[in-house]
Amino acid sequence: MRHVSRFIGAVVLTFAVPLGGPAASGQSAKPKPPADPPVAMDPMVLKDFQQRLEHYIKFQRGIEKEIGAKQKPVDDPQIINRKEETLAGTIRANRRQAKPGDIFAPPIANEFRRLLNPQLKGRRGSEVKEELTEDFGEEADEGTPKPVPLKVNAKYPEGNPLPTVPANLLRALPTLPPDVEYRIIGRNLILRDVDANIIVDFIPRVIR
Amino acid sequence: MRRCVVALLVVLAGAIATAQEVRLPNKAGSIKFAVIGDTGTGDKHQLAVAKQMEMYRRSFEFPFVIMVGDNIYGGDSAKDFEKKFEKPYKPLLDGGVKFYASLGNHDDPKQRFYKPFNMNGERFYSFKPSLNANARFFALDSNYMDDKQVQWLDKELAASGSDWKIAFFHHPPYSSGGTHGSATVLRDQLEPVFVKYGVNAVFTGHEHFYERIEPQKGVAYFITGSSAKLREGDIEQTPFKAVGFDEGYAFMLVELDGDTLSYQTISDSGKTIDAGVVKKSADTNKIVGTAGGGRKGDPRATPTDNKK
Repeated sequence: MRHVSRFIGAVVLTFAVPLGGPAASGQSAKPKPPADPPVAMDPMVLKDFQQRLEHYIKFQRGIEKEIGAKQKPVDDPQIINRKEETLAGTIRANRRQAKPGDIFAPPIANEFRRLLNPQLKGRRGSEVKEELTEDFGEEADEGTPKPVPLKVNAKYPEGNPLPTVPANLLRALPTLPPDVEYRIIGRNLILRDVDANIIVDFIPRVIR
Repeated sequence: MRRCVVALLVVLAGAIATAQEVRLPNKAGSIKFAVIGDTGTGDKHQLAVAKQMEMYRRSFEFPFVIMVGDNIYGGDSAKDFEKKFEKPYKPLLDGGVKFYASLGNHDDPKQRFYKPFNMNGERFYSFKPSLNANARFFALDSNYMDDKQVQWLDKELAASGSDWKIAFFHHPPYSSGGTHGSATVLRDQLEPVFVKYGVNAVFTGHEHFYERIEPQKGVAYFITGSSAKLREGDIEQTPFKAVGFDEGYAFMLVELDGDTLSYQTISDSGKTIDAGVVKKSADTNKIVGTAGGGRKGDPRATPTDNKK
């Protein structure tokens, strides 16, 4: 649970010490308003989120250990994929009852929307929204991405781009342990298990 | 007939000479490397660039390559890795060349466990090419620049005693691309850290062309996202563009020697697109100027004042 404790520490740090400096001004860059500092998350809601997440991480790491699916550098990508699939299958089997909102309970989902909202306003907000559509807008060059199912335990489509999460949005949200990550697909936020490539939970219409 | 054969031989000889024309100091003991980006297609363009890399290596023996992301497009099966990495770069891999990858938006983070990418299971990491090298390389994951990563970078840079600090990642903080353009949100996050700790050069991709940016706040920026993909005619005019090439595929050769970074950008047909030097001050370790010229006889041949 070393990482989880560190993650909690990192969350505290996230809200205590905003990083990053003033907006950069390259030779051509128009003066930009500095990014809005992250809004503080309601401590009770944050605690609830941390507990739900910690529960999942404990469960996932337990399975990973039990079935020997922990990854380490190897020459053969097949070994990496096999471990990922085995882990995903075992998680699904043991989490059959999981449903939307198990982690992103309605108060947490609403709080996430509130945290992200200031980052999506104004000119900076427009840039952020543009960045969010970039990866799925690249379809002409990179092939049409498969639709991402908004479904708990669903596999994130293989071969799809993993849309970049703009740094200011990441700063606005609680920091995650390395096992999971946020991704924003269209207007929805998903929590993706990085090791198992499955959607753990999601928040619809997080981008307004 | 004889005349034709002679003419053909002359043309071929010329082509070969062009393909191997190294415009770098090529000094013994210097740090030599290649830069590729947006490579993982497995198509003929990737193969053509890989072939040029192999040919140039005969004259300029770079022991490692940095990859600025989009290493494998379209899937991560063993076949994908074989077609889009192992086969194209087989001669280089067989020759002992090490590849250091960073993640692009088309890369699943599980690539960090693929040993030949030398990521050691990390999404972001740093390395020194050799124990006594005066350079450290910082591979970042620009798809997911959370506070944890920025704090790590801050700490790593602060602890780095290296003269040269080179960062590489996928999204370009400065770009003249019409399709994407500068990743300004990322720039706001990273540039203050780069400036604070004296990062000297940044190599990125994402944009499917080559671009050299005029140094910004003492940092030299290069985009090499056309080592297998190309977005023709995408470069727009911006005040920070030094040289751009969006008419063909490209890779870079770089050499670090003392306070000079020398670069040469080469197309898939072996032509030199751009070449020159980036100079840093021995006292401050900050970039003090560049000299170089693009393929089309770019008149820029004098150091560029970067304090704008």
